Amino acid sequence: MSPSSQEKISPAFEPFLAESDKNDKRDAIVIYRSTNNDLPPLRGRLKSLKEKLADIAARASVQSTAHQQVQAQLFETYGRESLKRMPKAKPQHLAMAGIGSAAFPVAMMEVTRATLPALAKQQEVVAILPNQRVSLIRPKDINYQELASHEAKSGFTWGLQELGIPDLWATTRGAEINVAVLDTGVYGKHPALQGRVKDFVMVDPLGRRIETNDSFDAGRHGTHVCGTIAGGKTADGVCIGVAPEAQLLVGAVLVGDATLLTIFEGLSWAIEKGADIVNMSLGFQYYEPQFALIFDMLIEQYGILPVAAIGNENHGNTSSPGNVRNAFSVGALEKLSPKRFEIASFSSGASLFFPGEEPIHKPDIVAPGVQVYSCIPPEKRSGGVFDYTYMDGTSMATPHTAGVAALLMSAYPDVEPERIIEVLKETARHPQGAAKRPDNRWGYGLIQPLEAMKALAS
Amino acid sequence: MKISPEFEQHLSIRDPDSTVQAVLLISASLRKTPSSRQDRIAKRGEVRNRLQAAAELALSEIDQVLARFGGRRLADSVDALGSLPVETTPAGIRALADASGVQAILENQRVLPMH
Repeated sequence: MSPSSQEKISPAFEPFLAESDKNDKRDAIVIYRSTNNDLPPLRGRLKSLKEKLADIAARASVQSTAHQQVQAQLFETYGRESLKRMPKAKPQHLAMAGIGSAAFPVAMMEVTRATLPALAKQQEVVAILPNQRVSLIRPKDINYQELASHEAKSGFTWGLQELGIPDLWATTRGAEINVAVLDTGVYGKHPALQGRVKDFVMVDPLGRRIETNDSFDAGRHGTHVCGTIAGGKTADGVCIGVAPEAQLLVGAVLVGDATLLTIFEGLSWAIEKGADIVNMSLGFQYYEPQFALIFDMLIEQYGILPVAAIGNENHGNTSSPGNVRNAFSVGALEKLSPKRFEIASFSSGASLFFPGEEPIHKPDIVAPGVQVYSCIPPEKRSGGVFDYTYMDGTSMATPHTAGVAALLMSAYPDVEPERIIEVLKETARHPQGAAKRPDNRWGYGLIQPLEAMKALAS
Repeated sequence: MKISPEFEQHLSIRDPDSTVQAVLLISASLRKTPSSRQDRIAKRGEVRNRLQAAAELALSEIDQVLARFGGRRLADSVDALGSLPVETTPAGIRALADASGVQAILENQRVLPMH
């Protein structure tokens, strides 16, 4: 099926279409359909490199000729159609040129808001993308000092501030709610987690439960996640946890070669221990749609609200279990300046299409997930022993959401998990408004805990 | 469809005599009943009992299939999710998918923290 004219225009043109004047020009990359020359496949491992290169050059020449013919026809038709859409008194010249030797059926053409639809209508046109700057991805120069000083001054991490958590604490701090964390474990002796770890178990790679006298963290991931959910204050007085009175049930399931079996055992343990919420900042090796049955079981039979990270594999990818149809999955928000927020470049997101089924857009919502300050097991480094650090990831956005769910559940204990998920989605804020959601970047948007609390009250 | 396309693909390229570890989800008729948090927690035992009862019906069929393909259970009974880990050959996994008491089969795939 051929794409419609509208479908040929990349959504990346939206800001240009929304903000430009009718006759403002913009460079577009146009991919067109060309004659397909059936050339025999390249063969012959014994051919010399010189012969191979000559072969490739000959093939490119045949393709280029075919592409140039289609291109010339396209330029002529577009030029004619564009003129009809320009003010007669002031027609503009729109530049059009092939790219390179036309080895690929791609051309650069100027468009205006008025002429773009005319170009999309051309039969040969397959897709139109705005030309954009491409730059090398460099490590960002992050000014942690400035962020640390700001957080010390306000007494809250930026994530807690942005979500309006201090205002919610007038109503609840998450008391009585059990949040299970399936992760690398927890360093329960951390000062910020004093009294918070209600129970701990290690599940080994064979799926056996191992009771230990003290909790431990096989890495530092689990302790950081636990701090964001229910941690208290740092020595400098910075509050790090969203629900500082919630109780943690920590399953150290990501120890050694963890498999689905260890996750099932961890979930089973969490159910037995009375979990209300399960935080899963973890990912499977591949897409497993059958895990939807587990989410159904947790939500509908046990009244447990599972929250899952969507993954750190950039836009266009997602991880299970966060990408399962009924998962409540979380993407990572980054604060670029006091008033500017964006989805972190690493944060996964995609739309999954299956024949005969509704498309699935993931993540469901987003929460702070970059430069998240929380506790870790003490580490000796040059300069001393450190037991707090900044981390980035959808792993860090997920516990913000689990903590918020704990606050809502604590304030409204009789509300079912489905309703809490529903209000968190409904009240989330998408930068392009409700009509644009859910999409596969922001999902329904950034969660708004205060609004969600109001929605539950009404 | 009781086996995901990806798992099916993995089965198709495995040596027929190799052993595959998987988690079976047992079929059970469970009805959702709206309730308060306290009721939900109290109801957990009831859900587990229903899953155990469903498992008892399903296990004899599962054991027969496992015996036929030289497989075995990796746990004595189902857990709170109605899941039962097993290992058997690729053909054994497909035969288990035909068992009426099995709702779905998931490969025991690797899981990692999200760094």
